Amino acid sequence: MAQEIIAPLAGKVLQLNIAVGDKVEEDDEALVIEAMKMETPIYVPCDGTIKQINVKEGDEIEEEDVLAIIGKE
Amino acid sequence: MVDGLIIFIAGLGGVFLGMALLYTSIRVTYLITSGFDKKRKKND
Amino acid sequence: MIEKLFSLFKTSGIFYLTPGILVMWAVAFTLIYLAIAKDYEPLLLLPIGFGIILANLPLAGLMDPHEGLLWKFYHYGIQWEIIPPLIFLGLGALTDFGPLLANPGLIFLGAGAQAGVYLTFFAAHAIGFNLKEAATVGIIGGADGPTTIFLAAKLAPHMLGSCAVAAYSYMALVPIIQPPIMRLLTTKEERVIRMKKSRKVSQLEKILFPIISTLLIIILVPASAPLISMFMLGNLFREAKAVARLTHAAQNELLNIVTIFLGLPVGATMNAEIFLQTKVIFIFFLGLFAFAVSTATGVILAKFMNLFLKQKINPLLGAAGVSAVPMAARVVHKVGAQADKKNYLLMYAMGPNVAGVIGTVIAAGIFLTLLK
Repeated sequence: MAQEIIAPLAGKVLQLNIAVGDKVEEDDEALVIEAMKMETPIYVPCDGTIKQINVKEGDEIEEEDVLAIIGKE
Repeated sequence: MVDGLIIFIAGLGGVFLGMALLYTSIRVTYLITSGFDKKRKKND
Repeated sequence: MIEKLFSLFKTSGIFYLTPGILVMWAVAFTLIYLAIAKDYEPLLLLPIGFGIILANLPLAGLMDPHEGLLWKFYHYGIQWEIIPPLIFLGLGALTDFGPLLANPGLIFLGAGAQAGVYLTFFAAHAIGFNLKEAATVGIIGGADGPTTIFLAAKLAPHMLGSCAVAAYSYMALVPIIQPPIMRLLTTKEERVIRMKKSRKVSQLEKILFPIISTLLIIILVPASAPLISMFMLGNLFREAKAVARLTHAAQNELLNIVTIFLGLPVGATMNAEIFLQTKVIFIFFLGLFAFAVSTATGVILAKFMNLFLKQKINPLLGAAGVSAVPMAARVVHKVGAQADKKNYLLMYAMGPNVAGVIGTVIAAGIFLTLLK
């Protein structure tokens, strides 16, 4: 089972707090994006392990981009 | 005071009327443009 | 020789200092301090603060009609209605109507917040401002600097400085003024409402919107033409994507240049005789009232709309109808995130936020039509 972290709004990736292989819990802060000159954290949707990350710091992202994929136990 | 009340009502009414016009125009534009898109897809 | 020295001394300004002038310097230093140290709208409050100092230098005559440098900036820039529309050209090039086009129903929230403008107008008139002055005070509630200046220059030039300073300082205070009102008027259940995902907006819609809305708004309220026309032209530059150079110039160089020439003469209108009146205290008080009421009426309208809507909207969005772009939208997002950290309201709030700009311009246009 896998679940995606989806970008809820467009912006720029300011900070990436996860790496492939990390064990994460629901509501962990996965990354921080900057939109309208405001920092907005994006949270992990479920417990699991990070399988894939599609962005790096400084990337411009669009709404609904798949930012990362989490493997659920 | 009466003048004030008239301006109050006319002003707020005008703002809402303006917004209603914009709302309608946005909806109509959407209907027309999405109609075009559908037609184009059919022709493809 | 000593007499000559004495006359030189007399032509210096020091003999002409009055307590009023010193008070104005204190006001100016406060604004400059707030701009630099507290980051309160520095792009405007800094030149305004310096303009106040310049207007209160005895014998310098920078505001002397036909002679003074700042008078020329003021006369040809503001009285001739050139600078506020040029600011709007830049703002139009910076504005993305996408969120508004995706959720057109939220446009009414931008109108709802204008109720604060009219309630404040009514309150100001009731406590003794004449109709033109009351309109100028009321428009502060629209939280739109250039529009406030535009209207004040035409209806009540003697209040231009204080109204502009009130508008810009309260805009900087939006994150403090709005949240308590928003929380007071909404329940936790309402604040956690998540918005339906917005639809995609096509580029054609984005190009057509500035053209169609220019036609509609100017036909409805011709007096709003200078501001709306420039705003929508800037937006058309942006969305047409064919004139990237013009878009860039409007967003950056032009906007920055006119910002300099907006703040300085606005500050320069504030000399001691005009500014230091008890009315000014009322202007600041009513301006705060206007911001608060606009926030409240926006939220209340959103709750009212929810009575009829199947897909409920988050009533916090109503507060974004106060057109301080994008501060009010950010505040909505933050208050929403405090109730539910995974609720991202920012982009939805941009819709009513930009609608609020249009609403304030229409309101100013109606005031002009009825009072000029």
